[in-house]
Amino acid sequence: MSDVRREATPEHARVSILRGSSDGGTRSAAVGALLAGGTLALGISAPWVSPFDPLAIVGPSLSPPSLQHLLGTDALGRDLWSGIVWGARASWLIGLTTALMTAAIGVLVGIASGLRGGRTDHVLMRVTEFFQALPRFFLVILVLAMFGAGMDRVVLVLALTSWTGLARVVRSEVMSLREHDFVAAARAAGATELQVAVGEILPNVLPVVTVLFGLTVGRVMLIEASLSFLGLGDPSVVSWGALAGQGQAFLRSAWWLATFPGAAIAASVLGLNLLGDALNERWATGE
Amino acid sequence: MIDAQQAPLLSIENLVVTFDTPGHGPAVDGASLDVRGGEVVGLVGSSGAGKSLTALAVLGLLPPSARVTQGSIRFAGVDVLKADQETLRRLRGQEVGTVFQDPLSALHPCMPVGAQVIEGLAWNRGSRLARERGTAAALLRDVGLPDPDVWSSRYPHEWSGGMRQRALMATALAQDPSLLIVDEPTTALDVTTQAQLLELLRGLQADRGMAVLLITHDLGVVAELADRLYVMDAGRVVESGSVGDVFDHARHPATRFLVRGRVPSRDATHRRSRTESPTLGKTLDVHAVVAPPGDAGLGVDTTAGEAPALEVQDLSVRFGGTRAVASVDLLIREGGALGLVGESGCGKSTIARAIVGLEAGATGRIRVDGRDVLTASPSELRKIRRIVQVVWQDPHASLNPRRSVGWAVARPLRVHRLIGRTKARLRARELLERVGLPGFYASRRPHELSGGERQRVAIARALALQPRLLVLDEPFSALDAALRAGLLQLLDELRRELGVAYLLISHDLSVVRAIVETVAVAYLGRVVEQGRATTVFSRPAHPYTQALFSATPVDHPRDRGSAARIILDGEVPSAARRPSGCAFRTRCWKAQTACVERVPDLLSHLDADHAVACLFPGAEGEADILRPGSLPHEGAAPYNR
Repeated sequence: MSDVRREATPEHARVSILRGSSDGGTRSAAVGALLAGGTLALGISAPWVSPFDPLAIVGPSLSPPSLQHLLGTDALGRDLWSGIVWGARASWLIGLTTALMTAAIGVLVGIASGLRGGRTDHVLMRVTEFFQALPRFFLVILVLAMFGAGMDRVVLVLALTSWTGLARVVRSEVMSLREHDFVAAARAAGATELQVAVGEILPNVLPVVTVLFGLTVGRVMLIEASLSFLGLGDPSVVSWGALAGQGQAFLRSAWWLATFPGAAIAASVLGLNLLGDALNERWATGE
Repeated sequence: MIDAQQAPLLSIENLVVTFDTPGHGPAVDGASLDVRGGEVVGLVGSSGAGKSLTALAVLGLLPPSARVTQGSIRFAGVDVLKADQETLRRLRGQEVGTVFQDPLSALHPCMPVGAQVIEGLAWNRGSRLARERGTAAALLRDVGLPDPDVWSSRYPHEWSGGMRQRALMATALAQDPSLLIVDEPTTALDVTTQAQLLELLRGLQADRGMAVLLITHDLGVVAELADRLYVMDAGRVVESGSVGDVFDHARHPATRFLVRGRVPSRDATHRRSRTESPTLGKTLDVHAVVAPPGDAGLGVDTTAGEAPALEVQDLSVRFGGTRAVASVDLLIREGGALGLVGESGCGKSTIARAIVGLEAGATGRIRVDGRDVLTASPSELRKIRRIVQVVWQDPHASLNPRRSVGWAVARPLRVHRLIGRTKARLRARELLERVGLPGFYASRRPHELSGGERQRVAIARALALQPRLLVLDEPFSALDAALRAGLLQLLDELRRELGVAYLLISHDLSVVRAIVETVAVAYLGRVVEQGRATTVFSRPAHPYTQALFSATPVDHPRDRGSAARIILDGEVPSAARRPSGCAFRTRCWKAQTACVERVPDLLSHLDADHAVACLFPGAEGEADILRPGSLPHEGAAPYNR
């Protein structure tokens, strides 16, 4: 038995060699987790960490950062720190819900397409291409223009236009997975297609889905920020994009107004990207 | 021939190689060995014993995370460990030739093979590429490549495994090295191709008088070639001596493990007698019998009457326009065992997949326990798949990397909703213990297990549903020879206790011989010979069977050269270009014009239980007389002994 176990040694050694080279990966994962996790925690704890109502006038207009108002106030005298904290909540909410819907549709389409192949694959891929060809930003603006501003429709339109990339990646992953013996083994044991998809395929595509999930959250945050920046967001919701957009007018006189919301967006998206890359690298090198 | 007093060409003393990873002991732990000029030295051990690392250290090619911490390596007076890069480079190119295990990854995929051989030559000689063209062609001819001018311009993927290995050998030989290091040279090759390459290596060594360091886990290869032998285990040399001595008086457990791992082949088929299965209490047939079609009475067991466990009739499988399997008939009685033997491309695995209904292009009839597989509805197929289970070839690929071992083992039970989650967990542990693994392995992931353990897990999974028929597709090919014996014993035990019928698919005759009663030999998708194992093994009638048997390495160095060896020309053709008539004719020394024109039927030969598909079936003993090189026919043996 001892001989049997020894057989495994060099393989393990090799894995740790690879790990050794990805030390930078671990560090960037930590930085990413700190940045993304920080803003997420801010959003979750908004009611407790924001000193004021973000829409209420609580101080002098355009006062620079001070102990009273940590990040200063805007032209109407609203507290910017409170705005950013509540903005985190809005950005994360919209990012996460959109990414969840995206992942759900993408995984469903990707697995069905990759596992069934043939006609199913053909039809689903044409549908994917249709959605891929839609000009996303333009569509959102159109919907907002027609039905009025609102988070719900932004989420819906973004989710409907964002799942295509994920579906394609999952599909290609599944196409290579389905040739593996363990899939044949499950089928030969009498597993139904659904049992194969859920039991064998799904856990193997989860890593790539997780990575893409993080990247999608980041991308949606950016789009939402752009929309709000252009004034197409929901006026009753404080978001980073809206804050930055409003602050833009005072770029010379009140630098803090555009800078801090912009930094918050950058930090979150950068954090998510770093985290995604690090996870991707970790999983690509095996476990 | 070898002067014992002569100073060794290569001398490794007390070599210690450690990896940077903490928590691991040295990978090579005080190994010492000598290779004298002109001798063939075998370096043997299970995988992970430190053989390859030792060789890499000689070449100064250790992986970056490995370091030599102690000892010395001297090659022809040069201290390898202290030599500078330039000396090492010259040493590698000109004094020491190396052939690595995997010829595909050793060749650049985007460059014609000829160009790669030429490039190697030019580097070492510092000459122009164009000037080496002729030399390269000559080298390729030396290593037995039939048409170097044509093949040189083709890319590695167009070359077969055996040809690639020859090309690597040509590169290694380019500078007339005084030492050739070959690392598992034939592990990836078919048996008949292995025989060709061993023959080639033997010839080259004799012609050039170079020393060879032969690294392998297969004692058969050593028994064929080596003069002396070192056995490594856990980084140490545990035994050494002349080949004969070590085979006869193996002292160290590791050596005995390896020697035992070579399945004793003689008489194995005679020793079994089965009466009752203790667990199922069913009386079982002692023999499984093969019944060729359209020949009533042939091969029908006298005890017949019980439904056969597997009945395959006129099975063909097409992939697009290619016929991978062509009218195959097989029959296994309940509790019987049939060995399906053949090399790559013979359709073995395709047949296995077809039996469990995984080949869409299958036509003919497959009945498992009386139920027709090919016409079954999805729900019927699910029922059939409770009766037949498969153990797949590669235990690394057949277990889901993201699922625990226990999950995998209980999966068939869960798939059929036969058992709840908690019960499944208990049952998985029982099954693991049944195949000799500790129950706590249930919570491990496949990557934490060794190859042998993984294959046990695969067997446990296959047994979960208590199948009537187990299809074993090359169950040992991913395993060290040393681990085979244990698994074989396990299979034999399980069969006796559970009364499972086996379809054992393998290219390894010794494995088949040890376990089955009937054998079918396949070549390019057709069964060319079948019958009782005792008959087929003692009197093989089809030339391919004869060649296959003859190609198997000897069990003991004393048998070296005892029987004339049949070395076939070339390799198995692609199924997409199946030769007309008898598919084997392109490599057969008996081939005549009639063989081109018609496909020989599988007809009984001498004995009702023995069927052969050959127009000129040979009687026993003929293998000794007829040799490819001795007969004038087109495309004669590419090299002479």
